[in-house]
Parts: sequence; C-alpha cells; structure tokens
Amino acid sequence: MDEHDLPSVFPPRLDDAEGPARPLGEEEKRARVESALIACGLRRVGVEEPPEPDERQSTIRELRPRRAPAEPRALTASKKRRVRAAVFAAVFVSGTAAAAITVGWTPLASWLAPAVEESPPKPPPVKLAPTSPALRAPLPQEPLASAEPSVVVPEAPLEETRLPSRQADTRTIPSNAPVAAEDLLGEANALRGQRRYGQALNKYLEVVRRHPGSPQAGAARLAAATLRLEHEHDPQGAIALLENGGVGQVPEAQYLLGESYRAAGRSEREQEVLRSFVARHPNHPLAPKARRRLEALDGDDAAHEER
Amino acid sequence: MPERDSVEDYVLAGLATLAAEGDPHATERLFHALLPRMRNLARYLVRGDQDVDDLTQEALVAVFRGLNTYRGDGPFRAWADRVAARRIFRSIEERRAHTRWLASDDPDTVQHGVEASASYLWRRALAGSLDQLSWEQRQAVVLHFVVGMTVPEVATEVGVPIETLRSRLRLGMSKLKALFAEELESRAG
Repeated sequence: MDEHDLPSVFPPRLDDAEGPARPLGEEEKRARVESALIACGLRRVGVEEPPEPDERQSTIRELRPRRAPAEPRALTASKKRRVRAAVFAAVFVSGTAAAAITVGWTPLASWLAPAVEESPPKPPPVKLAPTSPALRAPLPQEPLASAEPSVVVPEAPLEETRLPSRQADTRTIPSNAPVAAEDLLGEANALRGQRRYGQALNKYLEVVRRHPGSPQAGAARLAAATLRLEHEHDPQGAIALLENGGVGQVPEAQYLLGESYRAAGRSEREQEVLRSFVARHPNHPLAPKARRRLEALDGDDAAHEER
Repeated sequence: MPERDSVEDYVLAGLATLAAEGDPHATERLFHALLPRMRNLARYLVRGDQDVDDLTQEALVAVFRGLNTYRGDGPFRAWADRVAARRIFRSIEERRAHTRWLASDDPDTVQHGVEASASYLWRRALAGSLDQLSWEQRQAVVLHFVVGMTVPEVATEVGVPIETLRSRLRLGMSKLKALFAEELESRAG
C-alpha cells in the first residue's frame, strides 16, 4: 500500500467510495436496491417491473410540466426534443425544490406543485421548519422584479413621495444589498413555478453572478440551462452554462449538456458527452435513453459512411 | 460537522421529497445513490462482511420511513447517515442480545476480479482493526469520527454519560491506532 494514497484523516469520514464494504457488481447493486424497495412496500415480489421508461415515459414523468403553450410551427419539429428537455427539467425541479426545503422557506415547498399539475393540491408531505420569520413571509404575488431589492421601504413624508429622487431611492434601497443565495434561488424557483420563465431565468443567472462559489450557484446553473434550452431555444446559451461552473460532475447536467449539443446540431460533441455520461453513470435512470441515442447516432454514422 | 451542502445534496434532497410522496422511481434512485454509503457504514459498525447487506437493507428502509421527518435543515446525506447509523446500531444490539456477536470476516479478497485500490485496502485494514475493538469502543469511534455525530449526540444514542463516552473515544482511538499499525505491518509483511 502506497502511503501517498492513504486518506489524511483517521478514521476517514463516511463516504461513497469503495471500502470498507466489499464492492458489488451492477447486478448485485440492482438486486439490493430491489430488495429494499420490496421491503418498503414499493415493489411486489414476483411482479415484473414495467419496461424501461421510454422517451415519453420518463422515470419522473409525473413531474413533467403541463403542456407548453402553442409554439410557432417552425418549432414543433423539435417537440420531441423539448419533451426530453422538459423531463430533464423535472429532474432538476426535484433538486431545486430540495434547496427550498433545505433553506426552510415554506412557500418554496410548492416548487413541485406547478410541475405536477392537473391534480388537486396535496398537503406537502415534508414538514418544513422555516428558519426565520422573514422566510415565513408569503410569496409576493406581483412580479418580483418590481419587488427587487427586497428591502422594506420606510414610509416617507408626502412631499418626498411626490417628488421621489433617484438618488434618495438608492440611498434607501441599496441595489447591491446582499441577498442570500438560497433566497435568490427560492425567488427563481417561485417564478419558475408561476411559469414566468424569462424572469426566472434572470433570477437564476443572478444567483450564478452574485454567489458564484455557492452550491446554489450549481443548482441555478442547471436550472438556467434547462430554461435556456427549453424555453429560450438557446442551446448555445445552455452549453455555455453547463460547460463552466463545475456542474459537469452532476449526472443530470451531463445529460442536459448532451441534449443541448443535440439541439445545437453538434452531434460529435453530443456523442462524446453521452458516452462520458453512460461510462460514469451506467445505472442512472437516464442512462438507457442515452444509450439508445448513442446507438442511433452510431447508426447514422454507419449509414453516412456507407453512402 | 455535517459535510458541506453540494449540488448532489440538493438533488438527493429533491429525490427524498418525491420519495416521501411515495414515488417509486425517486425512491429507487435515492437508494442507488445511498447504497455504497450505507454499506460502508454497516461495515464500519459490524464485525465481518456477512451481515453487511442485511443491515444495509434495514438502514435504507429506515431512511425511507423517516423521510417525512427530514426538515431540510442540513445536508441530506448527513441526515441519512444518522438515521442509518441509529438503525444499524439498534439492529446490532438486538442481534447481540438474541443470537451472536456477528460472524468473523471472510478472506479479504476483492470480488469481480477488480484490482483493489490502495484506498480500498487501507479501509479494509481499518475495518479489520475495528473488528478487534470492543463493541462499546467501536460504536463510539464510528458514530463520532466516521458518521460525524457530536459527543453529546453519541452519548444520548448509546445511553451513557458524556464523560464515559469521552473515555471510550480516547481509549478506543488509542487502541485502534495501535491495532491499525499492526494490521498494516502484517499486510505489508
């Protein structure tokens, strides 16, 4: 054993690396998870699992956002692709909703609700514990852009109200007032939940800009990239967000990057990214779809060479 | 100290939210993500490999059943570690009371023909050393140093005064270091 390879902390903190438990093969892992699901009552013994979800039946299809508003005819050709992007968006919805929960902002627990849609609202299953009275405040109904910066303006004398001075305003409400990353992310999530995608995108980008090193920035990058691809039809913008900022290790980000390259018509890069995704995350629920796409791309290449 | 929040933690917490609603796909993904960690935790706590997978399953079920109690006030993995550690700890206590103090280790080989990394061998040696500690010292060392529970948390969990727990930690770590040095020597020789 080379001492240079040894962990510096003794004993090491718990992690997902190999050891001390013996490594399992992929089949064994699946079997263990299956057993646990059976023990939780989520699977029945001897009942075959439904077939691998296809592109219309995502593993998270329940979260797919409601049908998008009618698109211009030119865009309907890429509908299938956008459905997949929406599926990915739903994957991310789950993650960012957790961010809301993590920071304890009750209104943000409804992040999931708009995406589930069509069914009567259910009480949130996860009990949230708001961390401060400010965070318990209800979500503002008016556009958040007008509420920004989110500082309460003290009542001013009538004269000043009549003749508001821009200078005075900036003194009262500094535009660079620090806003916590989780609060910004929460605002962005809420806007997205209200389907105000443009504003949500701007708010996500604000998280990235103001808090570049925070974990919320990673989540925001992923969400912003999803919106750019899905609603702005801007794959290059999505690629720019995903190629930078250290979100490349997140499986969903890798997959979305592949989708973005596909939308941008850069199939060679798409292949590279999807291959890397499948190699790194062979058991990810999106891996079968990535494999199918790779097969299709390989088939296209072969046909091209034959010609 | 819980490990720092990461994007992965947010994603896991999101899956946990869906799993708490009974979404089987989210639960499956959550279990896949937690499986290696839970197996490692079980092996740190239990003597030998034989019971690792049974204990892991119990831990995953405990995490699933406890999802509604996750309030989101810390990283999801840190919360899951604690829930799993408590479940495994109780299972081992029950087994010790009713049957056996868990089987000794299998031959220390790596399955699937995979070449073992230095880190893996190091951790196996550590687990071998932990196997030689008393149960009381082992649980104290693992819950505090490996899982990251605070001294008062561990003392409450195992039901002893804080001073007793500190003593177990001190003696346990001292013995563990000595055993580990021997273990490394014997493996090198």
